[in-house]
Amino acid sequence: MITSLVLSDAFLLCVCFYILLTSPQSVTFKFGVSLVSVASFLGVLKFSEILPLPSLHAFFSSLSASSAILMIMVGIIWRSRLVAVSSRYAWILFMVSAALTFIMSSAFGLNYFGYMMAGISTVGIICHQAILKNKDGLIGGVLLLVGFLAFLTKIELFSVLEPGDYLHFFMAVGIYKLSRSTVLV
Amino acid sequence: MPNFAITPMVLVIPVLFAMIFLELLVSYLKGMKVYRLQDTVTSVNTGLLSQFVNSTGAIISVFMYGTIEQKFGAFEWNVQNPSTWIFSLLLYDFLYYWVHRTGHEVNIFWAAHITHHSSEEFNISTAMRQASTGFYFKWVFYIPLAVLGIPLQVFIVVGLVDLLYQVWVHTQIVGKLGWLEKFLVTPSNHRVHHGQNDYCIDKNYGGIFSIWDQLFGTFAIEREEEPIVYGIRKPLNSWNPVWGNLHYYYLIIKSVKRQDSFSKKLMCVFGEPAWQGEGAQSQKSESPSVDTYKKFSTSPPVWVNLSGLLTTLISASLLIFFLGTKGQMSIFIQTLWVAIAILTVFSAGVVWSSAGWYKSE
Repeated sequence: MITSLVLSDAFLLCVCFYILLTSPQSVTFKFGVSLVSVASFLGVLKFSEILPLPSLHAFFSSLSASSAILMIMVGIIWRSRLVAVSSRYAWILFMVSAALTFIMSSAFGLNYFGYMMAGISTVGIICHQAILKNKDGLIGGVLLLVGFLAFLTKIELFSVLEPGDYLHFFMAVGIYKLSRSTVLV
Repeated sequence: MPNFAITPMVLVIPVLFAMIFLELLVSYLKGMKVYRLQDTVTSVNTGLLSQFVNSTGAIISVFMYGTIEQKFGAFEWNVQNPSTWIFSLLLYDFLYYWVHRTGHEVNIFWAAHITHHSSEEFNISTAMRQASTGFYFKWVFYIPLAVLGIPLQVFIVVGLVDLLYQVWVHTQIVGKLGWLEKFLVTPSNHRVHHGQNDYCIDKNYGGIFSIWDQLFGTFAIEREEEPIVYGIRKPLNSWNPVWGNLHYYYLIIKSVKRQDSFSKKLMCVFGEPAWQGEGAQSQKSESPSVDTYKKFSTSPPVWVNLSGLLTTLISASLLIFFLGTKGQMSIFIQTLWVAIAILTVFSAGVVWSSAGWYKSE
């Protein structure tokens, strides 16, 4: 079944693939994008009802919010540092952020911790890119933030689009713009 | 008097002691000297301590696993079906490979796992020399099992099977096992893992299957022409199980303090163990030889040796009682027991490691 969520998730998936194949960004940035692509792939399967795996989609969406956006931020802000260019440290960053998210959400019941991480990471990107006066990066960060806000406030501007669609579209364009920001620090 | 529950670990402890005695007997008959009293008592006390601590610490792993499995578990698994168990064991062992590898290649996790490698002997008692501090990070690696929906009881059982399999591979009395070496972790395979010779460093991380090592390039075959020197490059030089568990954390803290930038401080925590940072003393880096390597040894009076043996027996009895009755204890009482266990083995360690009895440092 083709719904708007299937299309928007498929769009996000295609953009992620395109970035992974063509972007000159760091390992950590691409690791973050890979996590988003897995979540969007599972979203396509779920919303199209081809192979609905709702809990897996929820799991990777949660990882996308917490770890993936953090990794994208690290890949943008510290793009020439070891934490961004070494797959070893990318893995460590991923494991630590994922562990923190699960401890906070499971042990302390802070279900919004992942969104909080995503929000803080996005604001970090925006501030950093604003200071560097990097237009692409700044637009990318703002688009990401708009996507999150639209999703969290369950915005309904057009009857054909769901809040998740705004998240997917804005994330896709936002990450694309970030992948094209090339200021080296 | 509280009711005594026969748990798997309660049964395992006497079996481990029996295996030690059996290995001791066989090695004696073969004319091999693979045991030293101080080393063995330290290994056993370290193992008992880790069981005290981990029996409480394991609650974290079980809680996190259970919560994630309930929240995200993707598939239903039939526990009556053998394929569920086979698949779970294979995946567990694969993930164990990565837990183990991380334990060797990331400094903060090596601080926990180094305890197991601190023995300069290699025997069944070395298998008991387990860390008391590793429980806080290992659960993260097993999240894929939880997300796939593998039930908690299957996770616990395959974890126990994986752990118990690894006991028998800590021996020098079994030689190479022919074709089995190609896909199973064997005593020969694991001897390499415990060696500090150059060719042994960061090799053979597998738990049950050695195929992961072959897949990821960390497989090494035991060399007959180069006898293995067991232990770590920077020796522990102590018989104290508590210090054995904490000494590397202390080194990391000292190293962090020495660094002038935040990124270097992070490197001290998450870098490779070889990365010592600025201002560190250079590590002994040459490959050791069995002919010249000096093992840590002390010659304490007989009463000190007897006190060590007595501490081990008392600790083992207390542990069996603790494991059998802890279900009826509050967390506070459990913590109190753990504290008493720490104090007991610490005291014995202090007495054994007193400077007056050192032969070498």
